Amino acid sequence: MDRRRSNRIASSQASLLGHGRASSQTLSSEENQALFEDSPDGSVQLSNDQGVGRQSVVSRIEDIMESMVDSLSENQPMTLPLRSRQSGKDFAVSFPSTTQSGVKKFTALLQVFFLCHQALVSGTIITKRSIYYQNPELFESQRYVDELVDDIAFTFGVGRNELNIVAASKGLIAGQPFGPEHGDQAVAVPPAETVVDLDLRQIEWILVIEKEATFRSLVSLRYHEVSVAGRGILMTAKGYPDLASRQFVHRIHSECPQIPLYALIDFDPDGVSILRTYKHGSQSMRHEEHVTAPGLLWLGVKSSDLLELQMRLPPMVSSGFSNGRNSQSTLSSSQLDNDSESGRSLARSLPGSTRRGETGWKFLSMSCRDRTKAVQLLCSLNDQAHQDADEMELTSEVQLMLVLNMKFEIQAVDQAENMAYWLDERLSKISGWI
Amino acid sequence: MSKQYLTAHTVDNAHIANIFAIAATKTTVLSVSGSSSLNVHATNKDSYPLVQSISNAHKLGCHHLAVSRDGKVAASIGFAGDLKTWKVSDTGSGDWEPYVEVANGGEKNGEAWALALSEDGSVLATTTHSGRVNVWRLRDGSSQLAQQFEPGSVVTNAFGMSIDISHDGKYTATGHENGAVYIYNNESGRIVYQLPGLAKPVRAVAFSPAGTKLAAAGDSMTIELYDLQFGEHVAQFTGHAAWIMSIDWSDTGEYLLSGAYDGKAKVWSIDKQACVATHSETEQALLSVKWLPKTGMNEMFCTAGANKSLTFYREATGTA
Repeated sequence: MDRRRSNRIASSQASLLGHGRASSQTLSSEENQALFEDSPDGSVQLSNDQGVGRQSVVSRIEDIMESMVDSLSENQPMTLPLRSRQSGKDFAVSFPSTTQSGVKKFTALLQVFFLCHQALVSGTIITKRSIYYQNPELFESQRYVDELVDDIAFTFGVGRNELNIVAASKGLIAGQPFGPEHGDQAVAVPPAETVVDLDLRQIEWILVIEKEATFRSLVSLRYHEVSVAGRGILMTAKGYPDLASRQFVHRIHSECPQIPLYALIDFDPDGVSILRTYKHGSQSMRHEEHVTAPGLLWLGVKSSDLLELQMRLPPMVSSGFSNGRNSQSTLSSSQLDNDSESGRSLARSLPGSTRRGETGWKFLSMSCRDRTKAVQLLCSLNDQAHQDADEMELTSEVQLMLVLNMKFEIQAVDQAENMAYWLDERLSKISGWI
Repeated sequence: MSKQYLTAHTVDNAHIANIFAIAATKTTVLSVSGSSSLNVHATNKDSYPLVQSISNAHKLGCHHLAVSRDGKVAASIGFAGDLKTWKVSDTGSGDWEPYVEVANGGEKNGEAWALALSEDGSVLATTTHSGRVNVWRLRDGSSQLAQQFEPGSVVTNAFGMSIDISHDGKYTATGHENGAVYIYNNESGRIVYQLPGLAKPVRAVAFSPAGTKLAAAGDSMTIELYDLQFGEHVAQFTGHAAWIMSIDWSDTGEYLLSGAYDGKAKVWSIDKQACVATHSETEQALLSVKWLPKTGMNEMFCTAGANKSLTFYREATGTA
């Protein structure tokens, strides 16, 4: 079981890394069967219907290949069928062709058919990105691959997922079992379907981070390994999350509801909007299922954090607390004294770290756009028939942003020790470690 | 030489959301919050009961509220930018009812934000996101835009965060996001003073009852006092350790009350130029603090904010 699990992880990662090794890591059909039956809940895994869809795609591809062999033996041009997504009309891509682009299209199409067939037969899931990296010289652009894949799905009358091809997530993830062991490396967020096979028993927390720069700083500190709250997983979708990242978050949360799932976002309207997208989905993608994580908890930054953060800002960063500077530095040093206990463990794991340096936080006033966005958020929160406690909190925070006319951004910093220290405090407070 | 104030009463959960603003008449405290209702609590009864709740006053919640000194006219601004006026019913019930409509829809350069009413409620002034000031004359049945102050190029687009009208109705003061403080003559529409700023957002400005001084406070965590005869800066009160969200003069002009984001309320003596009382009933932000108009022997004040409660304080008798 363990060997099989690690194989699957390896295969899913190999396909994600996009170096064309997906094909070398295929699973036996028996294991393949197990891959889709392990899951206790039948939500995202391949249902019977989809299985039929996949089976028919396999036989359709095999039929096409057969007809090409026939054409070769009859000394006729080879043709691949394709249906235009614009006009809905069928046409044939033939070889030989009179044009350069025709030749390219035939070759590219044949390659995608081959990879798709291979993925379906082996039960692996490949990304559009990995297809591109199979032959970048041929495809020339990712967009070319994306178009072909969608054309093929349209031609067969199936969803793209039924080709076992998924969009590469723009998201990044770090922490075991993702990425190399004991590493400060991040990898692409894997397809949601692979989560079911992962061993997450060591994981104490999952942190979804709005900003890539913050994520990278924490990864470089190996925060997912050294946190006082235990081993965790760090993840970012670089701002507003794409569908693949949201599917992944949904999946990991429904598979492992016991692992607390936190969000680290800016105190600004976009941050709240991003949080809502993870929790409740986006307006434009309402037709998608299994993409929400209502249990995602807002770790920070919140209005209740502002006071403490305001005091921690060193005089240089806090623009013009000119009159209160003396009292402020007194406060920040006493603040540090009070917190020395919880800070110790981090200091231990991060030799030479200084907590007085760059803070990684920044106060800004709200722009006109921010204020407009905030009012829109309030309208949309207000439109819900019954606000639950979560939504009331979001409403209250957005109102405070407007009243304070202030937003608070988590900045990209070279030294993220302060951020790690802050997270240690927050995570320990919630999980009751200290 | 400090003064003693005791908690007289706390109305817990006076609103279901953060209370952003309160205003006091001789017998009531009006309050607005992140929820849609405008609530009225009686201050002349021991239990400080809720005597009126206007539901759906502001659909998205309400951030600013003012009441005229005569206690007859009120005005409030909601998060949707909706500006409403209220008056005490002529029926003698004491209930508040909708007053005149103020056509605020034409405001292009940002929503109405802070507001102030003159002593008899006939003049209403609001700030906008762009730093402009709009002054309306309110009469039964109608409102009329009387004056628009443009601070000019100096503070273009500096959000007007706070505003007050002098008791005699002659002057309007505004505090801005960039720290600027302006005083306008309501008759001429001209800037009378451009006061040395605080360099940080000015969240509260208040004329002294006699109209001789202006106090301004905000994110500098200090209260600055200006003499209005020559526009001089005459005092600075330090001691708050967080953003000052609200200030209010006592009826006699002897004391200033201030509330800060760290939950601390302070009373300052103007004579002594010192803090004479500090209260920290809560660690949650105070967003609005007000003296109650003096009716009995003892001074009283009320604080409200993120703990959703109204806390009433009474001056302890027999102190220096």
